[in-house]
Amino acid sequence: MKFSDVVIIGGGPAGMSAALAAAEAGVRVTMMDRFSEPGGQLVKQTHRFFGSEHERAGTRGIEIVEILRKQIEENPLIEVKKNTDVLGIYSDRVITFEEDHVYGRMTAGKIIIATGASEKMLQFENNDLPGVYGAGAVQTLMNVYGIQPGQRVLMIGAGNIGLIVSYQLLQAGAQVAAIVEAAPRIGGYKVHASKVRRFGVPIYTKTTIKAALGDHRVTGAVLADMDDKFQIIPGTEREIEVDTICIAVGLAPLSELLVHSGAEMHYVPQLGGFVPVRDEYLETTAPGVYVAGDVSCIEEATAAMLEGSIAGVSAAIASGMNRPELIAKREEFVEQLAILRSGAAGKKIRDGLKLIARREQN
Amino acid sequence: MRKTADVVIIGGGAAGTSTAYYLSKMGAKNVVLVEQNYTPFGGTGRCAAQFRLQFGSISNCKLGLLSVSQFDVLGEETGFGDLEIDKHGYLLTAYTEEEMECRRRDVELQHTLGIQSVVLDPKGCKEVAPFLEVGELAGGSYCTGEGTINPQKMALAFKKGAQDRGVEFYNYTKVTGIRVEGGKVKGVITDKGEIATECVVNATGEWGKFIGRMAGVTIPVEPEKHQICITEPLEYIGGPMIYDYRYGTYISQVKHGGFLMGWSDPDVEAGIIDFNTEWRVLEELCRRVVKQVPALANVRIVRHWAGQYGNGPDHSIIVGPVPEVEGFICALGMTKATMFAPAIGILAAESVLKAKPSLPMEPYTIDRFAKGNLIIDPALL
Repeated sequence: MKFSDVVIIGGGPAGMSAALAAAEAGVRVTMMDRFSEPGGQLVKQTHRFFGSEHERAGTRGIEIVEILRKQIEENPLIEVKKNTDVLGIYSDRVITFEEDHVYGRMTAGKIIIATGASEKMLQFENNDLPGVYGAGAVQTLMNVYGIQPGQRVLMIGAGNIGLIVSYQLLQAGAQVAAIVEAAPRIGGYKVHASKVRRFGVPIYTKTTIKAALGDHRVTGAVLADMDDKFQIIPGTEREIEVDTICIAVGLAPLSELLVHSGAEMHYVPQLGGFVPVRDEYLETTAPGVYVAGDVSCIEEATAAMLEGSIAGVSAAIASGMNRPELIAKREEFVEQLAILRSGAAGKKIRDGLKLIARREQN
Repeated sequence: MRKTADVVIIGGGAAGTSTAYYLSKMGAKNVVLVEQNYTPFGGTGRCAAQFRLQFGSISNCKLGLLSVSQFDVLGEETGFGDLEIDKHGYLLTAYTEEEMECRRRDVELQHTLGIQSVVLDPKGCKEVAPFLEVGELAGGSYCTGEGTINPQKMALAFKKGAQDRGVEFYNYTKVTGIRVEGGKVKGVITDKGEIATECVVNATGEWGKFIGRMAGVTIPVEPEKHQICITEPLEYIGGPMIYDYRYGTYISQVKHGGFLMGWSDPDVEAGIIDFNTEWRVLEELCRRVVKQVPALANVRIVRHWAGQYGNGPDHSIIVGPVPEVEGFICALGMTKATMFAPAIGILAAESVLKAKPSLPMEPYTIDRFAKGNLIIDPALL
């Protein structure tokens, strides 16, 4: 059976960074991704990144993808399996997959799971009408395929994704009728909120969507106020005319393969859902199985790339490459990630990580 | 948690919930069921969901007939509702004249008990199972009174019926010991406390041996892993479950269109309880299935899971009292707890209440092994 020192499942920002970090440390890497090109969510991120220069601040996601793809292509130690769905991870470390519709299997020394996240859905009447989209789908339609999903859009959720996608909809020429947010305050960065407000888009907090209107496709929506317990206040319902409803109420880790590999999982709301217990080098309780990116905790691409680097170099070190310079490099990545999460915006993540840290067993 | 009970049933799978249900129906009071996980965590919830009448022994045929008669009324009787029963039948294949002779002999025996099975030639096999490759077949036997039941719903229906009649269920309660004094059961010790009782029912399937040991009872049952997979849905054309002795497999298309299949791996390691799936088993199963149903060659597997049989020397049920300890009743399905659940429950309940059994008990009690009277059923894989 074919063998690779490190098999990385998922070719988004975390997976690509993990592949590069591991291969640069000198081990053989196989990276699997279900799409025709690696890149994950970066392929539609047209906005500039924040953070320090280290993490490519000021660069757009679509540019970062090109850089990472090129480095991966040029690295002879990295094999990329495109159009590949992983089917199973077995207790004897065999990974089975479907590559271009053909079943295959291989063994791995170490496995890095970087499968990312999926969008959460919201329950309301008629939420299956054509015209109801996830924010990620809207972003893909516009930024990857150049298709404007609608004329007049209602955005549900004022986190960073809701705000950024609203801004991109405006850039694409759509109207954003309103952004509604169930929480009492806007969840995303102020700079993103200010941008859409300058276009005159109202942001209604403590508000939710009660129903989508329309027979065959969305023609409007019913909004309603919410009390402090997130219950709809009767009598506050009002209609709004839109042809598109875009849902940006958060992401949930795609953690099925972690469960499959036997890693201990816990529900940590601060990190987005079921996430694995891990040590500071991102090894889970399943020996030799590492985690990186949104499947580890819902965060930004910058953090995902750093986590990928930590997991990649850790997997290489654990494969025998325990050289001082690699250990030093890993500490650098760990420190950069700590700095990235050190501000007020990182508090939620820091709180969540405390709950999931792998404790030394006596 | 209760401190005392008239009967404590250990195990919340098909056999345990069924025993609870029929005990309560027969009027037993103060009945408690303890389950280490939830209903139905173990073999019941993981099984292939089939029930069957075509056996090669009178004792197994009778269990099948009694069980099917109860399946037909269970959903309504308990108020649970639909149990997704589909009597698509089994097709038991034969490749040689010798095997055909076996099928004929079993069908003859089945006819004496009123089971409407028939012997088919290869053309007849193709008619009832159009997806089956019949080129090498000599024929088979077929019966429409058997088929599929949703085992999860069945166990939950038994549970509902029992709860409605006063049985108390304790999930996530692990039995750690059985108190025996002077050769009699006195109590069941769990991780949540002890329940004083003079009667315990061992309905723990693959864990049956270990529960027996807690009371000093030897039970010849070994855990044996068995793996099943199901494909993505295809157009539903129905047809029977293909039960094949040469390949050691069974294949059946379920209502939502997926093909469900399993293989009895002869090299399985007995004695270990784990629920890990194995790619080697999956691949071997697929190789064997594609030879029989070539259309499945390019179909995706969407789920693959492992369960445990509690298997024994003759693969037939162990129900009733044991010689070593008074008040210790077995309700062990020995690979057939789902398909025989009603019969196991009825016979175990009758044993507990010392009532007249619905079927002669000799072929089912544990003392058959000491006497050397094993049930030899040639129609089992």
